[in-house]
Amino acid sequence: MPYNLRLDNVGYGFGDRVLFRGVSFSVAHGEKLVIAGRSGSGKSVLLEICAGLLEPHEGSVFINDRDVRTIQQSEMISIRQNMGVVFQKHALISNFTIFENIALPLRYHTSLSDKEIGIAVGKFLSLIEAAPLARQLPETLSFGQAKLVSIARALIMTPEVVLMDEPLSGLDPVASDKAMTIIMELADRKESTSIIVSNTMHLVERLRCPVVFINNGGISFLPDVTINNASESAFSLFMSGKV
Amino acid sequence: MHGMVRFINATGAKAIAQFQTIYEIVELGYDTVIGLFVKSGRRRLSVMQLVNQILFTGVDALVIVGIIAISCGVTITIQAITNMPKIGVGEYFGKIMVITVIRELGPFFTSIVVIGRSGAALAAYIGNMRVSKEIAALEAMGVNTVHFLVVPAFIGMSVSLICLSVFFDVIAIVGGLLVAKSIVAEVPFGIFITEILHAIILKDVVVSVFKCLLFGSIIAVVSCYHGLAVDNVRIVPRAVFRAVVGSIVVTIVTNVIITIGFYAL
Repeated sequence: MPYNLRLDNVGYGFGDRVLFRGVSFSVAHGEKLVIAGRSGSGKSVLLEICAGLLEPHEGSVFINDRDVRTIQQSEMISIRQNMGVVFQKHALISNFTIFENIALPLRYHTSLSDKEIGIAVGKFLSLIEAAPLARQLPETLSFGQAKLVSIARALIMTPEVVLMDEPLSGLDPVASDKAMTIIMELADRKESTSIIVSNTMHLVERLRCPVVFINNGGISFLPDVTINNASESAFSLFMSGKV
Repeated sequence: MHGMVRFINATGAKAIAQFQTIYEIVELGYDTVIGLFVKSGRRRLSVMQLVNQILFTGVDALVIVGIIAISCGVTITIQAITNMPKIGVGEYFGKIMVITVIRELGPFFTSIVVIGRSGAALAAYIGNMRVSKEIAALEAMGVNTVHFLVVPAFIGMSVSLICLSVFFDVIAIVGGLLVAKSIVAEVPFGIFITEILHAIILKDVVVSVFKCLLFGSIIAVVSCYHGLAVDNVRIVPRAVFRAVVGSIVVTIVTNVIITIGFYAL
């Protein structure tokens, strides 16, 4: 199912505090985008707006050229079946086991048998080395383990659209490498559209995709970012910690 | 004058906000009833939620409902046994027990217990889900939160309330009589039970079940509404308070309306 996203003059704030305004960019089917910015600049909020989970205070969001405010709930559910979202703080369902958390989209959207669901979930549990944790509740997991489980839950339906908020944060080097492998496999799929919030330079470089940099309430759209180019740009200075 | 205008403005704004809340609760109730008839593809998840709800609301509340039932039963029985013969209405003991316990106290007291335990817990649970982004995660997965959270609570609380109310009635009547018999030795246990059984009519049972269905639905919808309305962690205690108070007020008003409708008109 093709997917394209367009933000048109989007703004958001909390009370009197304006996070950002005048944000406009588009992501076509099969493209990748990274959202970067300082802590508290509104990266997670912008990602949730892209996912249609938050309504912007200004401007419009278009999914497949349709304003999200006009999309019927049944159609949005259909779009979301093909979308995987990883939240910054994992957002696992607290009274579901790890197995049931990963299985949730399959149980809700498919008519797969318990055995088939078990096989599908088992594969992901092995991939993230979490099989021994299958019957545990999220509260017993470390932040990094929960993050990997949330990545598995987002990808269990093999979505063509993936939105991830800081997928590598809180992960040890081994888990981070595993997550990076999963993200790069996704990115390499031609039909896959990815929007990733990350301040990790080596992820940005490996994805070789445009960057939306939120800075002082506005954005800079950087079509091509490598560690060697635009060394004096605000983004580059930020990534090297000089701002 | 300025102060008067500000007062009127503030009162008006509060009234509008209150009507808005009532409208949204009714809308959630409507969506929930529609959700009862949704296709079965999603039922597997809802069944898990439903079983958990019945266990928590019904099974786990048996002890406290039993304690309240025995207390009510003993109080009413002793008062009735010792005072009714004095004013020459001793033969109406069975009818009094049916009217007080089965028609009114059973549904009412069990709903108060369910509001305090399950209603509060549900509002807090859903409020915390909102704060920890679990609701957003469900929405991101295309899961309808009304079907997933509210419908199981709606069914679970209604079913639990019916069962708890029957349990309350039995414990209050039988337990009350047994305890009263041990205190006031002249209680003719068998005769009183027979009188009570003869006094029960189908209408009493139907109305009692209908009240429990309605009260359970109200508690579920009001509690879920206030939980879903949370937008930050500081609001969770307020949401619980509003869920409990709102459920109590609506339940009491509904009880009065049903009683008038079925027994006074």
